[in-house]
Amino acid sequence: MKYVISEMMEELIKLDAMEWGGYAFYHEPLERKFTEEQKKVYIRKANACGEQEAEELLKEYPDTGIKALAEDMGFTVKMPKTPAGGGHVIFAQYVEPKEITVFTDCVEKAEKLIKKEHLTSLLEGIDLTEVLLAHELFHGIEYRKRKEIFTQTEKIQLWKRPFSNRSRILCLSEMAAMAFAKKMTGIHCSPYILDVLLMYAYNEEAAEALYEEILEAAGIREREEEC
Amino acid sequence: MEYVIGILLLVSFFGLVVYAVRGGNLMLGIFVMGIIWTVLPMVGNMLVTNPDFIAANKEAISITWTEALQKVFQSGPEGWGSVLVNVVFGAWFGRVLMKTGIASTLIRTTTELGGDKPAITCILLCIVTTACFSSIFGAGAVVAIGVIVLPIFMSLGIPKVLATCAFMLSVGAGMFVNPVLYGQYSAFFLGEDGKTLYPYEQHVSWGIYALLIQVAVVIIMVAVLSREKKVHSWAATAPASAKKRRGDNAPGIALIAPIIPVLLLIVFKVPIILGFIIGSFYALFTCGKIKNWSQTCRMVNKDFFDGVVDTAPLVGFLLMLPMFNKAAELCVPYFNALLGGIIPNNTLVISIVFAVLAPLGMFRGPFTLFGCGAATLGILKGIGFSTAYLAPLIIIPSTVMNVSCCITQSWIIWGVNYTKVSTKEYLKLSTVVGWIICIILQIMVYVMFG
Repeated sequence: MKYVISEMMEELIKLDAMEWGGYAFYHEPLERKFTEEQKKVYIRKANACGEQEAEELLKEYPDTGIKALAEDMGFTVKMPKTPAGGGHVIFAQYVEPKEITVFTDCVEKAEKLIKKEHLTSLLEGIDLTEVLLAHELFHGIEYRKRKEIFTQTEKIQLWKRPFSNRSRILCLSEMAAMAFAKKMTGIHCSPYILDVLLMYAYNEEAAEALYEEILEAAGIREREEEC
Repeated sequence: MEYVIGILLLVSFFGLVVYAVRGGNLMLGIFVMGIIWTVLPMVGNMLVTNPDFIAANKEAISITWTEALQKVFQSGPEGWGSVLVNVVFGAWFGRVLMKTGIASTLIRTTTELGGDKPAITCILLCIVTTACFSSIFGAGAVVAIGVIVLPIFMSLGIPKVLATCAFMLSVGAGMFVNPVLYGQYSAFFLGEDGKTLYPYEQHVSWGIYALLIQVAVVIIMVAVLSREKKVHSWAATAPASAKKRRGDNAPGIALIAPIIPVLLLIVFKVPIILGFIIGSFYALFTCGKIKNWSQTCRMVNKDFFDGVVDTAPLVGFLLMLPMFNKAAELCVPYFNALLGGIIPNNTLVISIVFAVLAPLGMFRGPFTLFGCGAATLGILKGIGFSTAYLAPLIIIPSTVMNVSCCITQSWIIWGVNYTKVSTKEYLKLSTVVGWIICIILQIMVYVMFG
């Protein structure tokens, strides 16, 4: 074991939106199409988009839990236990047009982990289910506003003229959903930390590798060169 | 007596089917079957009294115990040696494509062409995957490419079951011309002198069409099913290796490397091992990995080592298989006596049976050469069908239902676990699509060779 979970959480809590944006672009299939400057602009805009949507919703539904809010907005919320595991752990999903699912097995495992590893003070005020729900709720709102919302309307040209293939930038949605979830739940750090926390509950080694990847993507640590 | 032996052989055959379906260890299962199918016909040879049977199979039943044991347990695995060498070189080539970043660059470049259009990107990636697996082979390579391709599919909102199925069928499509897999198939069609009766040219003559048909069906499947509701998942994916990323910048000229061995073999008849060597060094050279002698030696050693490790689980099974194949030859007179009058010797009827019952190629059943199909092949050989017809007849369900669709295939069960698709959901889609492909291909083979 290279790291303990509390050490990783402490480090990840310190990361700001720009650094998490680097991690989001790390998983963007079109990442090579952007310069560092363009990425920074997109990260700012995506975060602003998510926060703005959250502010609008909070005005409309003050003091309402995310689940109740989602149901009030006409979304179906499912919470099956469905065990996850392996190298690809799914926490929650949104199926167009109105189905939100949170897989509670990972939530239960992570809650046990928080108690066992004494992470309660570090992750104070974070309701894992609410965060996951809020993230998926953003995708639902995004689908409803697909004609005007930034994350859906912003596109880049992939093919050279005279051919044309304009594509959305998938990581913008994810960044905005995280910013939305953060604002909606009022947590003090990025929801992205759940990637490591929830993964750790299933596979400690994978979580450590992910942690290293995040630090590298955030520009905090250089990855070791392969010999 | 010949009927008693024939019945006992059939009982043992169904015993293997049950054992394989229940997930028993196939390597030892096949070995035990090799022993049973050697002992039973040899005992039968000593006890048969029917003059007609003896006259019809004079040469086959006059084999001595020493000759039979030599044929099954020595010549069998020895004859497979050449296939093993191809497997090892193919695995090395696969490792080189991974290490140089050619496979990941190819995938990333393809994704950049399709963008966020799920159907277009998925179809393009399926085509690239098929091209890669026309040369490279092994669970290691499938996993290495799968951990790049599958998250891309899912990030595009493609349903998990469709993503997994499309990827695995694309891998399987490439296998129709894959020289390493061909080598394994050819081991089932060896002459008395140990040379194959089923040359690669013969295999490719229909295999290339089979590849195209399977890819076409995958494209149709993706085009139709990706119109369903899109799924956005919040998921974390463990990096395949802590040092994996930033390797996807191989130069454009290097990207043709995956098809070099097959291209050289088909167009210029360059032997496949030489093709793998040329392809590997082309990849290393164009990616600037060859810097000095000692570093090159270290790198080639390491890649070869990793490649051999990739194939290790397969080697044990494939070294036992020839024993079973050779033992099946000893059983031919008894299968003929028992089933000769029942099994039709009409190619149309046989083709229809193989098309209609294609799912018997799953779960190591009687229509796959990686299961009990070796016995089925033995029976059909005894009836006297030509190799040109028999080989594709049984290779189709082996490649489609077993290698491309069945959860008993090591890399498919990896994929199902990776994407967290339930096996039931996966099999519902893969079986139907695989079945359709088999029906089309059996029609094609009947027209070409029936």
